[in-house]
Formats: sequence, structure tokens, C-alpha cells
Amino acid sequence: MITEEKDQFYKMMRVNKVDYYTDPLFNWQDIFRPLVASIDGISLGPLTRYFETNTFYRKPIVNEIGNVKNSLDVDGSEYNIPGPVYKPNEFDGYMTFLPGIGTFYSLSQVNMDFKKFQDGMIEVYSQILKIMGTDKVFFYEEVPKDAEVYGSFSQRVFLRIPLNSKNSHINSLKVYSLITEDPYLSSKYSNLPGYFALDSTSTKLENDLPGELKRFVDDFPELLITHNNYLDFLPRKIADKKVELLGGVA
Amino acid sequence: MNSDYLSTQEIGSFRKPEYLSRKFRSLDENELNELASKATFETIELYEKAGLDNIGVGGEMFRWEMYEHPIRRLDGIIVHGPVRSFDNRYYNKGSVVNKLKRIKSFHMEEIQLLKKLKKKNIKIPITGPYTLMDWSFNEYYRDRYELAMEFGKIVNQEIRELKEFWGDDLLQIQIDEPAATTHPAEMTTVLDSINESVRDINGIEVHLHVCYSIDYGLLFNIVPDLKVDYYNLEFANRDSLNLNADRIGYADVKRFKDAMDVTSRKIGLGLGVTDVHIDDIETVDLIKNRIEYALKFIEPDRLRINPDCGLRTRSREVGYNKLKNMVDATKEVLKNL
Repeated sequence: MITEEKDQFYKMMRVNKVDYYTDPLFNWQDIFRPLVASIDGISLGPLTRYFETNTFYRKPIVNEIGNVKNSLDVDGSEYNIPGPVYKPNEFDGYMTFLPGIGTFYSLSQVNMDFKKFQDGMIEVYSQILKIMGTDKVFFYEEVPKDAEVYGSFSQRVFLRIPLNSKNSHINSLKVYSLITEDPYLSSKYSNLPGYFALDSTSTKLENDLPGELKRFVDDFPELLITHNNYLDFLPRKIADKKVELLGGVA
Repeated sequence: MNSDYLSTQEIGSFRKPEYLSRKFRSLDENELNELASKATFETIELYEKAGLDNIGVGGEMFRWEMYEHPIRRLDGIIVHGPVRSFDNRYYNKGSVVNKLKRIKSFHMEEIQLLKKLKKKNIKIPITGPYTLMDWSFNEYYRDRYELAMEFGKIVNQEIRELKEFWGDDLLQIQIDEPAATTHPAEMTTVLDSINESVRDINGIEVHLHVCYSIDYGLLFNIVPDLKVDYYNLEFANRDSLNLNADRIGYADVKRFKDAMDVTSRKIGLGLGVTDVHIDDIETVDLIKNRIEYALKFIEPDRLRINPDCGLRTRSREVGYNKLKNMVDATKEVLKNL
């Protein structure tokens, strides 16, 4: 069922001519769960509120960062992942989704300093990206700590950072696409500036999206437009309409 | 020994029997009333068998879940569909698109049933105004404060009507505010909207249930000004299952005591001693240890014992076993008081 739903999702992306997309994470209970399940040395902690939302996650308890387990198709107990998690995808626009390293660190109970954690995560993320075989990766960073590290990945990096976070560590950042509220800032640090054009916290539809984006036409030959957070925070039919709006702009 | 010592209570929801949960959304009003009443009887029987002092409303059998139940009884809010809350669980999140108006009582059928059964030891959970605001999309009111206060007026109307029906006896009301501390900058909104909910209503004992807080300190800061008598809080989720561990999950009990000491009103704590998100049944010894830890700070007539939250996420068997051990542990502690 999950595979069928995901196939429908990918089809919707193609029909709406969305250029880049990640796994829809239908079977990820939260953004850390597959990593906790598949990396040695990390276990599940208490149910914890996810930022200022009505969404919860199991806090990862990080005692060490070992290797990625051979089989990434984790299933089993009620706390684990139903169905395949890291499944290679043949579509051109597909990006592997990974939680930002600063976000992972900040929302976990980590029994090591940030530098050691970061080094360990770069290693396991590299292993996951090798397994996935994709040339594009999307990092979801809500609490950036050392964003410049994303420049070290060989894949095309799409990095999502909110400007209201502390992002003082981006002075020499260079990634393929930096996605923020401010495309002018994004363009300083990336080839393809990204812009939060759709609000994933409101069921109001941005029906005049093309009109709203006109102000950028002269300044950006290319602009990546997307939503400001997971569409999981919206009812599905509204989320689908927002995807159609994105496609309409194209 | 004072009979008010360490009274045991549940927090609200309990897993529905399958004959109710499978059909819940397809039943008409009469059918729902019949099956929900039957499930309420059975749940009260379970609670009484476990030995609970307070039976709440018998597991919230009339409610699909705590948010959707009230908002389906309001004008001015529409539901587009479900959004995720945790794991692979979803709730129907409403969009406020017009002025809110209560078109039907939220909980009258429950209180009517409990009165008919001559149950006195009840506590009615009502979803609080701040949480109703926070869990809705606001596409009509000027800001979040204004919407929370509107929900506060509606909750006040509901409580007032329940109290009028209940009569002269004291009525315990539990305002459920899981969202209470999620936006640290909005604690004034939390304070004002909860106080609005109970404004000028006499003859009620007001409980406030908060769980999975990022920082209970935010709540404790407004305790002196909140018109609340009991704070029923989650602790077990953040504690170790190891009997001999430091009771790290209960560190905030001391902070609650400090907040309690600031006010001259008599307020108390409902201590969450069993985790509602795991199937492990906490042993009597472990729960006893948790209660004894809390008694270092809170007098026994100000301490009540409960699960962390509603038990609807567990099977009825697991839920019962958790409650039974909770009651047995409390009895053990009482022997030594």
C-alpha cells in the first residue's frame, strides 16, 4: 500500500511538472526514525514534541555513531518503519531526504560533542547516499549549527534553512541550492536560489502565485520555488492543491 | 489517615472496544449513543475493578478524539482532512473561516449518562481554548490571542451548562491543554484563555492537564495567576523504567512545589506515573518509588495519582493492567503514611 501511495505521489509530481522532490516519507513516523533504526549506536528515546507543533517524534539517544546496517529495509516492532525506507528511485528529479545534522543534534540526546557527532553523521550520510545511488540530496535543516559542512558532499546539495534560525555559519557556504525565505540571500550561497513561496501552515491557497513571483523575474534567471515546511502539516487535499499551484507556475 | 490522600484518577481517554471504534464514524446519533453508553458502562466497570477513585467520564467513549469532537459542534470552522500528529496517527485539523459559534453541547450526553448512573466521582475532560486555537488554522480572527479568547468564551459556555445540569455538588472539570507550553512567547494567551474558560463559574474544581511539555517551567511561572486547582502532568514518559535509577523524569516535581509555594490558594498535583505510549506495564514497586519520590515535595492531600495522559493508544488489557498497578502501588504507599 505504501509503495502504491508513493508511486501515486511520484506520478503527481511528474504530471504537475515539479522538477525536484523527495520521498514523501509516508512510512517515516518522524524524520529521525529510519536513521535511528538503521544506524548502530543510536536508539529511540521518549516521545517528544517537535518544535512548536502538535507533532511528536521519538527523541534519538546517540551514544555512538556506528555504521549503517546492511539492510535498510527496516520493519518489525510498532516503533519501527513499516516498509522500505531507503529505496533507490530512478526519477531524474528525485532527491534523497536527510534531516540536517544541526537539527538532528539539537533534537536528540547526544552523548558526545557536536564536532564528533557531525563527523560521524557525514560518514553515515555518505554511506546512505551511496546505497541510494542518487546524485541529489535534500537536507532539511531547522537548527543549523555548521551549515558550511554541506559543501563537502559530492552530490548536488539542496539545503533548506529558515532565516529565523541562527545561521551565522554560512559565510563561506556553497551548495547547489539554498532554500530560504529570501532568494537574494540564497543566491549568494548557491547556484539555484530557492524561495519559500507556499505556506504549509495555512489552508489558504496562494492563488495568485504567478503574480506574486513576478517581482523576482528580472533578478533571477532561475528560481527554485517551494513550500516553507512539510506538507504533512496540511490536509492532503490542500497539500495536493498547493503542489498543483507549484506546477502552474512552471 | 485523610481520605483525600493520594486519590487515584484517570486522565481521559481509554481504548474503545472494537464494536464501537470500527463503526464510530458511520453510526447515526441514536446508534452512537447506544454503543457509546454500552462502552462507557464496560469501561467504568474496568476502572472500578482496577480500584480507581475517580472514573472520569468512563474513557471518552462518545468522542472520536479530543480536538475533532468539540470542533464538529461549532459553526465557523471547516475540516479539510487529517494531518499527522505522531507516528502514523492523524487528526482532522480545522480551518477557522468565520466567527465561531457553539451549535451543540460538547459533553452533555456523557454527564447525563453519569448522572443517571448516580456516579459522583467523575471528572470531565474538556479540550482547552489554547489547544483548540493552536491546533486550528486561523484564517478569520485577527491573531492567535483573539482566537484563543473566542475559544475561551465557548469553553466557558460549555462548562457553565454542564455545571447547571450537574446541580449543587462539586463538579470536577479537567481542561486539557497539551499545547499549553509549545509557544513560550504566548504564555499570556494560555493564562488569559484558560481563565476565561472558568470565569465566574462556581462549584467546580478545575484541573489542568498538560503533557509532553518542552518546559513545564513556562507553566509553573503562571501558576499563581491561573484559576486552576489541580495540575495533572505527564512525568513517566521522561523517566527510566529502572527501579533503582534516579527519578530523573520527576525532577519537575520540585519545581512545581516551588511554584505552589508562591500562591496562598490550595493547589495540587496529579502525578503521571505510567507511560501511555509504551506497552511495558510499570511494576508496582516502580510506581511506588515514583510516588514516594514526589511525596518528598508534595503533601499527600495535595497529590493525586494518574497515568501520564489518556490511555487510548494502548489496548484495553494493557490500559487496565497499568491502572491496576497504579492503584495497587498507591495503596502500598498509603499503608506507610
